[in-house]
Amino acid sequence: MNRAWIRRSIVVLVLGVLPVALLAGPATAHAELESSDPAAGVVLDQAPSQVTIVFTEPPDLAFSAITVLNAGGQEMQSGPAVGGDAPRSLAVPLPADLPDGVYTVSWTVVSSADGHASAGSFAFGVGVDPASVGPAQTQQSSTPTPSAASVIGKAMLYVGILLSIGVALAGLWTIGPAMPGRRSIALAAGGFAAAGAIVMLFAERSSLDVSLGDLLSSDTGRAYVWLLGASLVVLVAAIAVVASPARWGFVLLGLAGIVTAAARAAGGHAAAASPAWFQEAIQTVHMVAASVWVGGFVPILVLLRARRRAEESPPIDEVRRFSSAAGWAVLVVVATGLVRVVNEEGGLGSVWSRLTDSSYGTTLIVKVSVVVVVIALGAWNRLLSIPRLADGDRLLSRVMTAEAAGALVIVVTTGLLTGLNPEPPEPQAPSTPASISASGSDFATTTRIALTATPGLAGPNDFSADVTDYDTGEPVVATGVRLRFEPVGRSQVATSELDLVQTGSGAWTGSGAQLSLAGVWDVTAQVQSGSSTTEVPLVLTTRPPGGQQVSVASQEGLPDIVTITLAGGLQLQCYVDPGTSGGNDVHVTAFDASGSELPLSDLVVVLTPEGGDPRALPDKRLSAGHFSAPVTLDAGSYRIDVIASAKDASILQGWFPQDVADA
Amino acid sequence: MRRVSAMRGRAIVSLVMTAALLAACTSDPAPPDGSGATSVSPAADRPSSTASIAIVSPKQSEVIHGSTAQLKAKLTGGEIVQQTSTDLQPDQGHLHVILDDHLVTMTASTDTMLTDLTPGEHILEVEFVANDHAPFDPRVLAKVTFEVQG
Repeated sequence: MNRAWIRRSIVVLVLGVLPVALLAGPATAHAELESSDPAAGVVLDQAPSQVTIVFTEPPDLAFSAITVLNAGGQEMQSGPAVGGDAPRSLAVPLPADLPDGVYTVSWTVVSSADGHASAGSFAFGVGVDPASVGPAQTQQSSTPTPSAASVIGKAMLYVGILLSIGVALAGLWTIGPAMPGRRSIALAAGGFAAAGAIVMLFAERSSLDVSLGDLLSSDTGRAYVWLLGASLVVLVAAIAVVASPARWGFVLLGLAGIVTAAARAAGGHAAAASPAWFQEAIQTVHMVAASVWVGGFVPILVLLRARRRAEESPPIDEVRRFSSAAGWAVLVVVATGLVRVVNEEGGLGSVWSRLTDSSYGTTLIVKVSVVVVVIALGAWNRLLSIPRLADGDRLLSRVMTAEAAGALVIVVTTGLLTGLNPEPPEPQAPSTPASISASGSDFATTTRIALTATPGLAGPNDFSADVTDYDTGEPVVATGVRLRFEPVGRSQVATSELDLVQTGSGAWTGSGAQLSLAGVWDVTAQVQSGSSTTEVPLVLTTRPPGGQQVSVASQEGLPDIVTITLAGGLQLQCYVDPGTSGGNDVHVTAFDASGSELPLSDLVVVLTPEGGDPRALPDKRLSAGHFSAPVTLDAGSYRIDVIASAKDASILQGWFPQDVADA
Repeated sequence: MRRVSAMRGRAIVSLVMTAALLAACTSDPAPPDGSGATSVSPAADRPSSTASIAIVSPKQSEVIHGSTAQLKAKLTGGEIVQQTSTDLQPDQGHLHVILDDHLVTMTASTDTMLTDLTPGEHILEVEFVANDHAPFDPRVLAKVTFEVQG
C-alpha cells in the first residue's frame, strides 16, 4: 500500500460514489402510510363511504388488512380490504349509516416488494368537535422487530454466499484447484446457503402467520422461491466441487453464489427503491465484492495452516494474490455500501439524523464500526504481516483469524439490518381537569416516570410526564421521550407513538388522540439519553365518561354480584364465580335503563392483579348481552375492567375491585 | 485449528453481547390506574327461588363412551324464561351448564348435549339462575361426577 494507491482509492470513491449517491432516489423499505382519505385528524360533516390508504410500497393484498373501530372498539368496516383506485393503495367500505363519533383506522400490511411487515393507526371524526380528534399528524406506524430465526437464516445465507464466491475465486486463481480444505469449505458454502434460505422462508411464514402454500403462492413469496432455487444450485455446485477439483465446478459455484446474491438483493430493501434494478445491482455488487474479500479468508487460513503443518514454505504468492484482490474488493464494498446507505436513509442530507434516530441506524453504526476495524486489520496485514511471512512468522494467521471473527459480526448485523426499517418514526408536533395517571420505573430501577393524561377519556388527551432519577428524585437529563401505546385486548389495533417535547427540567408534554379507544392501554415510555434508551412500562385506563356507581351484593355461599351503573342508566352486572382461588368464570351482562338486556356487539374484560400487568381474558357470548370469561385465579386482589360496545354503538365502560380468597 | 476455534468462540460471545446491548431493558410494571369516579355501596340481597333442580343423566359415577353425553335435568317449582332482564321472579330463570368449574353453555332447555368431552373424570353442575344470569340465594344447583372413556 503506498501513497499513490491511497490517492487513487480516494479519487475512485469520490468520483464514483458521490454522483451515484446524489442521483439515486431514496428507498422506503417497508410499506408506510403515504396518504389517506379521510386524512388523519380530519373532521367530516358526513360519514365517508370508505377509507382509502396509499402506501409507499405496493401492499400484498393476501397479507394486508384495514380495520375501522369506533371509540368502543367495535369494528365498523362493512367488508374486507381491496385494492384501491390509486397505485399502492387499499380501501375498505363503511356502512351508509355510520354514526357520528371518533374512529380509529388500524392497518397492517406486508410489502410485496421486500416482504417486510408494518402497521399503524390514525383517527378521524364524523360530526364531532374538531378538538375531540386531535392534531392532524396523528398517524403512526410501527415495524415488528426481526425474529431471531430471520436474523439467523439471513446470516447463514450470507455465510454461504461469502464462502461460495470466496472458494470459487481461491480455486480458480488465488490458490488453485488443489487448494487444501476444498471439500469441507465447499460443503459448508452449499450447506449454509441452502439451510439459510430454508430458515428464512420458515421465519417469514411464521412472521406472517400463514401457511407455507399461501406464502409461496403470493407476491411476497415469489422472492423466496427464487432464493431457494438459487441456494439449492449453490449446494449442487458445492457437491460438484467436493467430488472433483475440476475448474468447471469452481466456475459453477462462483456463478451460483453470484445469482444467490442477486436473488437476495431482489427480495430485500433494494427492491423497494426506485429504480429498483439499479439498487438491486448495487447491492449484488456489494455482496460479491464482500465475498471476494471476506470469503477469501477461510481458504487462505486453511492454506497457511496446511503449509505450516507440512513444514513447507509459506504461500507468499497465493497470499499476495488474495491481498491484491481483497484490496480492490474493499474499495468496491465501501463505495457500494455508501450508495446503499445514502439510498436507504433518504438522501445525503438526512443520513446522519436518520442514523441516530432509529434502530436501523444504530445497528448500521455497529456494522460500519466493525468493518472499519476489519479493514484496519487488513491494512496491518498488508503492511506488516505479509512481509514477515517469508520468515515463517505467524502474525498473518493470527490477524486474519481476527478479521474472520469480525466478518462474522458483520454478517450477523447485516442479517439484523435487512429486517429493520431504515426510516425513524415520524416525530409528533405537540398541541381538563379530570385526568388519569400512572407511574412506574424501569427494570434496572434507574428512572421513574409519572405520566398524566388529561382529560383521560377515549379520544384526544394532553400528556405530561415527569422523568426523574429513581434514587435521588432529581430530574433526568434526557434528549427525548417517546410514548408507545398498545390497547389491551384489541390485537386488531396497531401500536401508536407520540414524541413528547421538553417543557422544563425533567418535564415533557405532548398531545394526541393515541388513547382512541375506551379501555386499558399498555403505555411504554422510552427515555432517550445519548445513545441509550430506557423503557418504563405503564398502564393507563381511560375514564368512563360520566363516571360510574358500583353496588355489590355480598352473601354467604354466593359470589359477589357487582352492579356498575353508568351514565344514562345503563348497567353492567358482573360477578366472578366462585370467587375463590382456582378456576373461575367472570360473568358480564349489560342492561339498558329499563332493565332489559342490552345487546352487545363487542366486549373486552381486562384483569389486572395488584402490582401486576393487565391482560385481556378470552370471552364467550352466552346471549345477546351476556358474556362469560374463564380464568384461573390465585388468592389476591384484582381490578377487573369491562369495556363493551352496544349494537347502537354506545360505549359501556366500568371497573370493579375483586378479592379472591383461598378455596 | 484449536486457535481458530477459540477465536471463533470469542467472536460468538461478542455477537451475543452486542445483540444484548442493542436491546432495551424493561420491567417493573406500574400499578393499575385507580382513577375514575367510583363509589361502592351495598346492593339488595339476591332473591331466593321456589325451584329445585336435579340431573337425570348422566348419573352419578356413570361411565360414558365417546365424546358426547346427553344432559337431562329435571326442574321443579320453576319455569325457564328466555328473556333476560333485571325483573327477578323466584320461579323464573334459565340453566347454566358448568363442566369442570367452567361455564360451557347457557340453555333454555332441560335436555341438551355435552360435546367434545375428553377422556377422564368430569364434574358436571347445572344451575337454575335468575333472569339476570346471576344465582339465586341459596343457589339452585345440582352436581354429578362422571367418567368419559374414549
